[in-house]
Amino acid sequence: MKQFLEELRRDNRFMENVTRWQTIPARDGSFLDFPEDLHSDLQSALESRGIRSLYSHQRKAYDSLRAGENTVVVTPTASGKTLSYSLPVLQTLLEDRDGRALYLFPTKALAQDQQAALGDIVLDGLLPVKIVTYDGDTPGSLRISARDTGRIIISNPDMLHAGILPNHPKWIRFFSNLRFIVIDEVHIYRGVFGSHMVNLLRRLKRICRFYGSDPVFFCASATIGNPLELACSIIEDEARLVDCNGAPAGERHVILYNPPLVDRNQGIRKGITNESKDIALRALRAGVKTIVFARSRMRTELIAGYINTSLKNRYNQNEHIRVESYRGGYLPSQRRIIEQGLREGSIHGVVSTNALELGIDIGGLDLSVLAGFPGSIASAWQQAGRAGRTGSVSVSILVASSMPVDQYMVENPEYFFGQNPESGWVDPENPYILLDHLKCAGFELPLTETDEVFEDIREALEELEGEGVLRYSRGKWYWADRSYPAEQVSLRTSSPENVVIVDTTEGKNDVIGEMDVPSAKELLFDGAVYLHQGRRLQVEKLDLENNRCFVTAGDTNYYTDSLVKRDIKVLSEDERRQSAGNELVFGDLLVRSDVAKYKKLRFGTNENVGYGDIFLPEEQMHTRGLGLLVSAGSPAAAVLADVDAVTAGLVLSGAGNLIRQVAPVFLLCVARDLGIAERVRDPHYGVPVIYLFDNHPGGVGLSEGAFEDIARILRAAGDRVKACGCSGGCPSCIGPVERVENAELPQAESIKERTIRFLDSWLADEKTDSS
Amino acid sequence: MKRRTALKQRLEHIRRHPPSRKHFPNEDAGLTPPEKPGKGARDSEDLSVISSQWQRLTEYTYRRIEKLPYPGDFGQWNEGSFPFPEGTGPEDCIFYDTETTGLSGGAGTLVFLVGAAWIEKDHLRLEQYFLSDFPGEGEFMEAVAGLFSQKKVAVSYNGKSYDSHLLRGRALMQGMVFPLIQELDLLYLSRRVWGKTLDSCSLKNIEEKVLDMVRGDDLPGSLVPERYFRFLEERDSELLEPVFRHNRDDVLSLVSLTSVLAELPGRVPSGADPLQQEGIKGRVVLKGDKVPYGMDPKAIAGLAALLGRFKDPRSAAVLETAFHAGSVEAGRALGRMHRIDRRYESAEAVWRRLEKMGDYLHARLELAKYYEHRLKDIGRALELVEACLYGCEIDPKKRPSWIYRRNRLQRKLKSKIGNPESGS
Repeated sequence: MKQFLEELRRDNRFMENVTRWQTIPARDGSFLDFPEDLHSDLQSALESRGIRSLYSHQRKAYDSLRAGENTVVVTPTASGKTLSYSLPVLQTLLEDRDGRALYLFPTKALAQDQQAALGDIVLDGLLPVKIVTYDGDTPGSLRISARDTGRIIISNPDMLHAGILPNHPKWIRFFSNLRFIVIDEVHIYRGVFGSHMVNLLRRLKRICRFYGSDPVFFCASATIGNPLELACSIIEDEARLVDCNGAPAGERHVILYNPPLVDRNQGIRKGITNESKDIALRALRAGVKTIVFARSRMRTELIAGYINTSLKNRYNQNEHIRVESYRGGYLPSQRRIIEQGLREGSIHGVVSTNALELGIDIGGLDLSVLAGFPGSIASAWQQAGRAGRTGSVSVSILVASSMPVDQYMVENPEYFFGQNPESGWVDPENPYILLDHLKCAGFELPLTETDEVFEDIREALEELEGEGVLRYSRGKWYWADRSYPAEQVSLRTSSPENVVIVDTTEGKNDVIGEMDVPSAKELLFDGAVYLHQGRRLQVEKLDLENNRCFVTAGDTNYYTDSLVKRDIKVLSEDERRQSAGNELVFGDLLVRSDVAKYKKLRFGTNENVGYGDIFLPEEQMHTRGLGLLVSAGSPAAAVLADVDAVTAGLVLSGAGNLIRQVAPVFLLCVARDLGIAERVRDPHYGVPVIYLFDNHPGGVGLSEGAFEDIARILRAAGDRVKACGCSGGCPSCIGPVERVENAELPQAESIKERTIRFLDSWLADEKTDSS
Repeated sequence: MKRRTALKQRLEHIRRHPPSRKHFPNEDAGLTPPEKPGKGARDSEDLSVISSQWQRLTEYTYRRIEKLPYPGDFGQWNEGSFPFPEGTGPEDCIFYDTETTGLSGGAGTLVFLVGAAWIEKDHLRLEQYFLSDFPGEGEFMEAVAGLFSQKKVAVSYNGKSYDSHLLRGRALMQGMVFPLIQELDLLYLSRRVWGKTLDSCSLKNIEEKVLDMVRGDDLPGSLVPERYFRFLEERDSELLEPVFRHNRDDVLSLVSLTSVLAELPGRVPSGADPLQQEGIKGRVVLKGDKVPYGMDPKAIAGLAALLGRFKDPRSAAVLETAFHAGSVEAGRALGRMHRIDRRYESAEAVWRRLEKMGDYLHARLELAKYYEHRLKDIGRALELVEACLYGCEIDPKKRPSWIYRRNRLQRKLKSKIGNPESGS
C-alpha cells in the first residue's frame, strides 16, 4: 500500500490532476470497561469473542439507552455500531423476559446482514433471545412464530408500513412489550423517504400507546451536518447525542482528482469511466484491494467490464485478479456470493453502485475509488469509509466528473473537508404524505382531532372525510372504506412494480434480475444492450403487460442509451409572482415522458454509431412544478430578443441544465428528484418557459420550495457558470457541447455568456453586474 | 426557507386536483359523493330507520331473532362423531357468519353484522347482531362475544382463516378477549370431499351442487362493504335488507351443509356392490334421496380420509367403498389403516389390488417392506424392488432410496445364501 502511494506521489501526470491530497492521521482507540450491571451471560458471550472492553462510544450509548433516553450515535463505518445498541437491548431483554425490540434497516439486504452479525453476538442461540427477520421474504409458515416469539424483530420501514402496523392486533404481545426501537442508517431518512418515515413512526407510536408501551429510540447515523437534529425530527422527540468515536482507525489519505482537460476551450475532461478504471487497474495490479463506486448501474457494468477486459489481455496465464460488479437488480443469492468473496479475499475488486455504501459487511478494502461525486458529502464519506482496516493505511480517491457539483467539490476542497457538510431534511407536514399516512393511521385505529401523535389534523381529517374514506362519528374519525390503504402508499418510489429479466440464451430460461418499470422503459427497450455482470445481453422483447423482459447473449460492439422526450401540460396555475420584473408561476403539471429513440455508442470510444426506435407507451405523471416565464417585455425576454429560436433554445437549456444541477444543494435532495424541461414557445403560456418540477407523482414540495427560493438558486447557477474555466460553455456548466457549436450569436458572444446574462436578468440587484 | 401555505389551502388544492392514483372500482362509481360529509351522523340517532323486526340493545347495537324449524335429519347425527370435534355434538355448535367493511383483513376492517344460529330444543334459533355505527363497536362486540362463550364449537365457512381472526382482532382493539372456542371450518371439509369434483368450493357453488338450492336475488358478497358505507351516510335500512338476508342465508346454509356432511357417511353404500352397478361417474342420486350429493369415488375417498381424521368408526367402511369404486388414494389409506391395525393379510390384499390398478411404486414398496420385514421373504421383496427400478419411472430424487433398498436386500440375500443357518 505504501509503495502504491509512493508511486502515485512520484507520478507527475497523476499529481497534476490532484486538487487536494489530505492525510488523516491514524487514531488510537479509546476504551472503557464493561458496565457493572452487564449480565454474566452477555459478558461471557463477549469474552468468548475476544471482547474485553468497550469503545467509549459503545459504553456511552449503553449508559444513555439504559437510562431510558433516546440516543443518537454518530460513527463512521466499521466502528462497532451494532454492539453499541445491541448490548443495552440484549441486557434489558435478559432482565425483562417479555421485553421486545424492533430494529429497522432501510433495506432488506442490510437487515439480513445485520441478523447474521447479531446472531454472532447472541452466540447463535446461547442467549435466550430470539432474533428474527420479518420482511417480505419471510415465509408465511414462519410468520406466526416470528410474531409471537421473536424478541428482536428485524425489519424495514416498508414491511412495518404495509405488513405489521395494519395488522397490529396480531402483534399484540409484541407491541405491548416493546422496549426499544432501533433505527439504523437514520441519515438515509431525509427528503421524501424521511418525510414518510416520520409519519410511519407516528403511526408506530400510536399503536404502542394503544397497547400501553413507550419504547425508547436509538438512532445510528453516518456523519452528516445535523445528525441529532435530523434524528430528533424523525422521532419527534428529544435525544442524547453520542458522537465520541472510540474506535481506532488507521491512517487515511483522501485524494480529490480532477481528470485532465481534453479540450481546454470547451472544458471537456477525460471521462470518469476510463479514469476510474485506470486508477482501479493500477491499484489492483499493485495488489491493493479496491472498491469502485459508480453513480449508475450502467456505469457499474461498464467499469467492471473494462477492468476485466484489461486484465484478461494482460494476465492470460495464472495471475488472477477477480473483479465483480455489484448493484441492485442482482438476485440476493448472487449478491451474497460476492459479499462473501470480498470478505474471504477471493474477490480482489468490486465495482458497485451505492448498494454497497451502507453497512453491508464486505470486510476491509484498501482503496475506494469514487467515480463521480455521489451527490452528497455524507455519501462520499460513507463510500470512502468502505476502505480502511484497523492498523493499516487506506486511500480514497474522488474522481470528479464534468458535472457542476463535481467540479464545485474539487474546486472548493474546504467544503468537502470542512466540519459541517450538508444537512438532512424532512417535511412530515407535506400534505400528500401526511394525508396518505393519516389514511393508514385511520385504518389502524380511529383518529381524533386531538390525537396524541398527529397534531393539528382537523382539516386533514375533514378532507379525508370529504373524500369518503373516513367517517366522523361521536368525536372520532373511523376508516370507512373497503380498501387497504397501505397497499396504495409506497414509501420510496412511484412504482411498486418490477420487470423480471429473463435470460433465454440457447434455450435457457433463467431469471437474472429485476428492475422497476420506469427504469426498464429507459434501459430494457427492445433492441437495448443490457449489461449484467459484465455480460453483454441484447433485449429481445420487453413485455410490459406481464412485466417480463427477455434477453439473449449478444456480441454487439456497442451499448445503448435511450433519449427521453418530455412533454408538459399545465393543469392548474396556483400562484404567480414577480422576480426582478420577471414572472414565475407554480401549479400542477402533467408530465409525459416518452422514450422514442436510442443511441448506439461504441464500447471503448463511446462514439455514436447509430440510432434506433423504441415503441413503448409513454409514462404519465401528475406532479407539482414551477415555470419561469419569459413574458414579453420582461428583462429575461430582452436577453432573448435578438436571437432566433434555435439559439434561444440553447440558452434556455443551458440555464435549465445549471438550475437542475445546483437546485439539489438548496432543496436537500438529489438531482433525480427534480425534472426540468425547457420550451422555446410554450403552448400554454405562449412564451418561452423553463419548468422545474418534482420528479415524484403528486409532488413532494421540492419545487414549491424552489418557487420561494428561486433567487438563491438562480444566483448559484449564475455563479457556477461564471466560475467555469471553459471558454464557450462545457458539460460542467451549460451542458452538452456539440449543440453549442450550432449556435449563431451576434457580436461573437457565446451561448455561455448569453446564458449568464439570461440568469442575471432574473436577479434584481445583479442585472448591472453582467459583463 | 420553505413557504408554508396554510394546510387548508394546500388541501383545497389537492381536492381540486387529486393525485392520479388507482382507486378501487366500486358499486357506486356513478353516484356523486354526499354533499355534506357525514350528514346526519353526528347526533345520537333514533334508528327507527331500522325496520321493526329489530330490537335495539344499546345505542348502536341491534338484534333480530328468528325461530326456525329443526333442520335436516338429526336422527343420524349421533351415529358417529363426524363432523363434530371429539366429545361434541350439534347442540354444542354455534353456526355463524360475519359481514365486514372490507375483504383484505387488517385493523381497518370492521365487522358490522354477525349472524349466528344454534339448536334450541325443538327448533333452530337464529340471531343477527347489527352495528349501526362505529362508536358502538365495544358494546356490539360484547354482545357477540356473549353468544360465543355459551358454545363449544364455532361452525363457519372459511372462519378459520378469516372471520375468527377478525372477531378476535376487533375484540382485542376494544380491550376484550374474545372467547376461544373450537373452530369447525366447513370450507376445509367441503374441499376434502368435493374439492376434486366441483370446480369451486365457494359456498354458493356448494349450495347449488350439493344442497340443491339456488338463492333468488342474492347480493354478491363483494358488494356488501359499499352497501354499509352507503347506509352510514343515508341511514336507510332498506339498503341493508339484502345484506341481512345474505347473512341469514349463509348461516342457514351452514346448518344444512353440516347436516348433509353428518349424514354423508351413513349414505355411502357398503363394500363394492351398489355404486359399481350404477356406474359411478360424476354425481349420483342415491336411492330414495332427492339430494344429489356428489358421491363419486373421489368424494368418497375424501370423506373417508376426513372420517379417519375425526376418528369416526365408519371410516374403514367408507374407505372400502371408495377403494372398490376405483380410488387409489382410498386404497393407499386403507392399506395404511390395515397395516397400523396389524391386519397384514388384509393390507396385502389391498396392495395387490392397488398394484393391479396401476399404482405400482406405492404398492410394490409397501409389499416389499412387508415381505422383507414381516415375512422375511427377501427374494420376493428384491423382485418387487427390481421390477420398479427397471420397469417404472422413478422420480430422480427418490431413486437413490430405491437403490439403497435394493442393495440392502441383495446383501441380505447373499448372507442368507452364504450362511443359511444364521437366517432366522
